[in-house]
This record gives sequence, structure tokens and C-alpha cells, in this order.
Amino acid sequence: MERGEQEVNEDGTMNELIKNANVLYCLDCGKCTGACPVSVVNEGFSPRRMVEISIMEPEENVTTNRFLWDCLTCAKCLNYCPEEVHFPEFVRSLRKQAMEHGSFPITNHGGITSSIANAMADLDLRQNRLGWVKEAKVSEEGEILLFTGCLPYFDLIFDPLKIEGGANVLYNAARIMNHAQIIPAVTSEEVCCGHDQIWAGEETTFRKLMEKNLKAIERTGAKRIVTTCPECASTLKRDYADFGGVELDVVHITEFIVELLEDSKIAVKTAKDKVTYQDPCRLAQHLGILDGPRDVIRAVNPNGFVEMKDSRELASCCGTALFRNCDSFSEAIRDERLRQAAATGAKYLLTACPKCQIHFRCTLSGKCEERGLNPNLQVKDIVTYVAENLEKMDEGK
Amino acid sequence: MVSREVLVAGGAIAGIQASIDLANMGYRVHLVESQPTIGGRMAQLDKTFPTNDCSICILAPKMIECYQHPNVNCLTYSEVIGLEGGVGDFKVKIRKKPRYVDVEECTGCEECVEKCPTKVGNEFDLSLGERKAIYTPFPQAVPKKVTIDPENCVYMRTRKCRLCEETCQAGAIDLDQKEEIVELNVGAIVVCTGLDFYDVTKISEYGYGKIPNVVTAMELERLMCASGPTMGRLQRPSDSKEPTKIAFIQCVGSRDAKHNVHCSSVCCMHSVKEAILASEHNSDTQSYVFYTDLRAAGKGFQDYLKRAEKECGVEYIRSRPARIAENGGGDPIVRYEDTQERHLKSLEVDLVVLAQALMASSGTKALADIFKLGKDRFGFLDIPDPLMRPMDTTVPGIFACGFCQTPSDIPESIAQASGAAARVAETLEVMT
Repeated sequence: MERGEQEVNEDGTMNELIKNANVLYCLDCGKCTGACPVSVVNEGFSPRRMVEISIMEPEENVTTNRFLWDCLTCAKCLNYCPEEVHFPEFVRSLRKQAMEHGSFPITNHGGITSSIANAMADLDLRQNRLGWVKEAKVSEEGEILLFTGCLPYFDLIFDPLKIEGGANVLYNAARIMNHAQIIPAVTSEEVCCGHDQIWAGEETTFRKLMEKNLKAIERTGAKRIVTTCPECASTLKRDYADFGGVELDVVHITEFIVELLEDSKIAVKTAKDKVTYQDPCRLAQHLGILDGPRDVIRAVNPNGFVEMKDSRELASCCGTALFRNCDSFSEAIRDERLRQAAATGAKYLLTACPKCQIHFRCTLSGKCEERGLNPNLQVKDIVTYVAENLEKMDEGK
Repeated sequence: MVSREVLVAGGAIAGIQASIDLANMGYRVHLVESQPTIGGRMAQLDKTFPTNDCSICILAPKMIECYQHPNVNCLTYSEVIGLEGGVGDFKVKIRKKPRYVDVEECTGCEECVEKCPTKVGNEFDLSLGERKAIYTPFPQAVPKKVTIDPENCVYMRTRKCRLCEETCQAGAIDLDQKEEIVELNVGAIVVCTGLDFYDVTKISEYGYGKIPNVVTAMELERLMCASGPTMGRLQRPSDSKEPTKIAFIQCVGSRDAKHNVHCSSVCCMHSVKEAILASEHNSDTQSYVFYTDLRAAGKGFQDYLKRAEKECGVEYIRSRPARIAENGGGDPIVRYEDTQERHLKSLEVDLVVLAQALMASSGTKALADIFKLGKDRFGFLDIPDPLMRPMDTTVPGIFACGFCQTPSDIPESIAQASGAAARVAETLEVMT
């Protein structure tokens, strides 16, 4: 399928969208609906049914589809589909059309995340996005770029949640690299990767962000890009290839840490507290990275790692995507994940995605004990977990 | 000089039929089978569709006819290891694995089996039952001779035991037996190496291997068969309870881009058959068949589907389930979207039966390498002209029939076997 191409010569007809996402291959078997985390909690939401309606009534106005913005584009359906119907891609195309017809999703947190992305796309900002560096060693140019994404902004936006998903994760990532004698390049010219924009159907904004980032990346001279956010990894790797025609060597930090451990470039102490792990959708379902994070956790904690009931390809995502349409269904999905996490008896719920961390912390900060959740469960980024257990830190040398 | 001898590789129903046909036409046939007995998959089946005939009752006389035919040389527990030459004059090298038993002397009394101290999973029952380290695979095995499995034999591992040798009054045990290499000169070859099951643990959403009451269709076949591990009493694995609510899930690893894109062709019918048989075991049984499409394209097949629905109350649900979980009592819970009622549903059952995908066997792959036969994108033997020469492989003089070349049921495999035998005869007649 030619994802990027579709948009170039597109005249917006449903038939073209159907063709481009393999939708006509649909066997109408409903495996997607059974797999979908939204369908379980949101009665009537059915990827199969959306496909069916699109084929049977191709001219139906997408703006009337009340389910369009409920899809998390987590790609679990795609991974279960026997015919590889790219339902997330189909939804993305529909959303683009819906936007053009004036149908928008509900943005959360006052729409601040999309406002920031829009500002980055349209304005010539001078950003102060490297405040986290402190004593970590970084440079303006280098072989390996540490792509920071929106993380420096998250601390500001989600301050009441006391997340450590922003600057601290980046600082820890840089420290892990420094420990392995790697000085990563960082750039204050980078902007948001455009993940939320492309999946919300805001392709124009996405393209602007992509162009800016490609220039910024080029100026650093980096051959390889490491991201701490799975959404950045997925976007830079796949969407920049599909829409920008650029094949970047992108790795998620967990894969990078696996390499460092294998090459004995870093050493870790043995942690003992029970931990469990949430598979972020962009990492597990979109990029198929299931073993890397687990290898990292087991390296730090060989005996204390316990899986949740639904793990790996069976896991649901955290329940909210794109900071849009976060509602009672999102909460229900999140509750189930956190119930499963509580059932493991783990002290830490590790995740490899800052957004999972934000959403889980948000739920746990409310009254949640009566719903079977553990309010004392500590949600932590896997990068921080590794950094806290590094054997020896050669700082300031 | 053109040899009028023929190699038949694979001693399942297709190989048996091809051997009998050729032997009756006066050709000398060498039938090579890797297992200690001929019979293949059909021997494992309880009943056949669409007539519910006892499978072994039909197969056993054929096995004996083949084995005792004066023109058939049956090389069981043997495998082809080399091939040279071409049509009319093939040189085939065969390795006869040591049985550690002199088949001329062994009477098949199985007193040694009684005495053997080692119990292991019985492959014939898919490890649902046990056998000894010295064994006959199943009661109707042909030849009815014991074989020692060296991997599990105490003597082979520790050089101590010899209980079988002490017990055997015929003096048939030969613990020092060595493998034998046999060289044959044949004019043509028929390949009929059958099928293997797809490893359904790869489909993690169905929980096979983790949820005890999720079994495969062949496992259910053994659990319902009078000669099976439960003597024909249908019991589910976790607690030996008789299941009366059974979900059959179709296309498990078949017609699936992530696993195998081919249709295994027989599963719709064998699931319907098993649903009928379960009802015959207990008339209170309620079976559900979760299907993608019900493919009943054979003689009497459509009637069979209807019969299951009308007489046994089998319910057909158009859906591919997405998840099988387990409740506290060991009952599987099937999560699926009923695509006709358009609702996401959960169904709690006693037992789930997976219609696992059927593939060209590992023996087919091995032989394709040795014989330099082409394979298609699904791993089946390539038939370059399936329309006009449906038995001919990519190598002249080598013919293929049964599941090794295309998913096919028993009657189709037999028809193909007779077709391949006819092509062998025609080829050799034209050359001589």
C-alpha cells in the first residue's frame, strides 16, 4: 500500500480510501472487533462494521460516523486481521476527510498539546527545549541523535500529575548513553514529530513538522536516531518514510539499551522489587517490539518481573490516543490494565511510553481503590528504571 | 535399461492405494514409510466424513492387502536419503533405521511391552496417552511388530535393563541392530508424504498449550476414538469431565496472512463430523461451529452440514473469534463478534476445538530437497501443469498425490493415488 501517495493525487472519494487500506480484502469475520480494546467497553463500536458500512454505503458522509474518533489506532485489529486490512490507516484517511468536512474530535487538556504542535509547525519559534541537559554530556552534532519530541513540554502541561515522563526521562537516557561513552547529539531546532497530527488526519500540519524535523536532523549529521517515545520512533521510522520518502535509521531507546547491554557497554545492579510492564501500542503493535523492553527489565530485575494477564500481542493499550476523546471508555480500558497490574502484586508498573505514564498516573491520582486498582502502584518509565540501577555513573568526566 | 520397479514414498492412504494399483498392474513396488507402521493420518481418525464410517475399519484391510501383496516390498521405519539418475533409471538410496527387533522373528505378542519400564507420550494419540519405549504404534499396526525407541529406552541410555530381551520367547530382540542402507533401481517414483499440523501455539490469542481445555481437532478425534487414550469416552483434559458444550473454531492458522494463506480444505467437514460424533457420544451436547465460510464442496457434504444442524442441533456462527480466555473453573470463554447479529459476545463452553491448519509435511520438504522437486509458495509440491498433468511434479518420472501436493481429503487422495499409478504405468510402458 502506498500510504503517502494516496494523499498526493487524492480526490477524496471513499472508494479510493477503501482501496488504499486493503479494505476490500475484508473477510467480514469480525476478528478485529473481538480484538479491539474499544469494542469491549464501547457497545456498538466495531471495526468490522465500520468497514462494512464503508463498502456498502461508500458515499456515506464520514461526518456522521459517531465512532470515528473513538478508535485508538492502536493497530491490534491489524495484527489480528487474517487479511491484513489496515484499519488504523483507513481510520486515519477517514479522519482527514472528516476534518475537511468540519467534523473534529474533542481535544483534551484544553487542546494545549495540539496548540503547541500547531505553533511549532507554523511559527518560527526559538524553543528552550534543552533545559533538561544539566550535567549530562551532549553535543550539537554527532552520529547518534537523541530525539526529544514533546517530552520537554509534558512536565509543564502535566505538572499536577508529578510525571517524570518528560525532562527526567531524557536526562536519564542521556546519562545511560554517557555511561556507555556515547555523547548523543541533541538539537533545539527539532519540533514535535507530528504523531498526533498524522493520526488525527491533520496531514498539512504533520507535513510541516516533518519538513522542519528532517532539516534539523540533517544539520546534526546524525546517522542514527534514538527516541525515548515509541510514538516518535514509529512516526520517524514509518510515517517519514511513507510521507517524506526518507528512510531514517530509528531505534527506540529500549532496543538501544539492549544493544548496550549485549555489548557490555553498560552494567546494571540487580533490583528486586516486583515489576510489571505495559506494552505501549506504538511499540508493541505498530513496531512489533515485544522482547526488547522485557530483555531490559530482566537484565535489571531477573526474578521480579511478572507479566500481566494480557501481555505482549494480547495486551491492550492505555486507552487514550492523541490527547483526544478521552472519555469513560478510555477510563474503562485503563482501569482494566491497572486492575491487571494490581493483580500482579507489582510495586512498579513500567512502561516505555511517556503518554502511557501520563494517562495511568492521571487515573491513579483519582479515587480508584474501589475499582480494584492499586493507588500506590508506581508508574515509571523503563529508561528511568535502568538509570536508577546503573552500576556506576561516570559523570562529569 | 528401463526399470519396471517403482518407489512409493509415503505409506499413508495415498501411498497404499498407489502401491496396490501398481502391484496389481504387475510392477514391483518399494513402499517406503518413515514410521514403524503404514497407515498414516487416516489411521488416527475415528470416523470419516460424510458417512461416519469407522476409519480404521476401512483402512486396515487396505494396509494388510498392500503389505501382503507379492509385488510390494514394504520398507517401514525407513527414509529416502539419496537419488541419482532420471526417469526409467533412478538410483535411490534408503536408510532402514534399526528397530532393535528382528521383524522376521517378532510375533507381535507384545509381552515385551508389558515388561518395559519406560512410559512416554504416545505420538499416535498426540501424547494424550502413553506408550512404552518398546511399542507398536496402534493395535492395527502393519507390520504388527514392535519397535524400540532409542531416545527413551533405558538400555540405550544406561546400558542396563534388557528386560524385553529376557521376556521375548522368540528371541526377536536385537539391541545391537545397526541401520541398513538399501539401494534400489526404479523407473519411476510416486511421492505421497502427506501432511503435518500447524503449530497452533503460534496463535497466542487462542491459548492453546496454556488453557488445558483448548484442544486441536486431531486431539478430539483421539479423545472420541474407541482405541484412543480414554477408550472412546469423551473427557476434557483438565478434569476428565464430559464436555457437553463445545466450540469448534475454523481456520486456525489457515486463510490467515499472518500464518498460512491456503485453505486446508478438509476442516469445515471434519469439524461438522466431530460435532455430530460428540452428539452421538452424548445427545445433550450443544456444539457451535465458528466459521469464516462453510466450505462444503464435495459429494454429500452440504447435506452433511444440514444433517448436523437438524439432527444434532449444531449451531453455525459466522465469526472468527479473537480471544479465548479461561474462567476459574477451567471453562474456556470465547470472545467473538457475531457478524450476523452485529454484537460482540462471549460464550462460555466446556471445550474448544481448534481446526488447525494442515501443511505439507516435514517429510515432503526433506524429499523435495533430495529429489530436487519444486515447491509452491505454500510449501506444497509444485505441479507445473495442474490442469492437464495434475500428478506430474517438476521432475520427469516423479509423480505426487495427496496432501503433499495439494490439500485434499481421503477420497481425493485415493483418486490422485490411482492417477499417479496410472501415470507411472503409462510413462514406463512408453519407454519400454
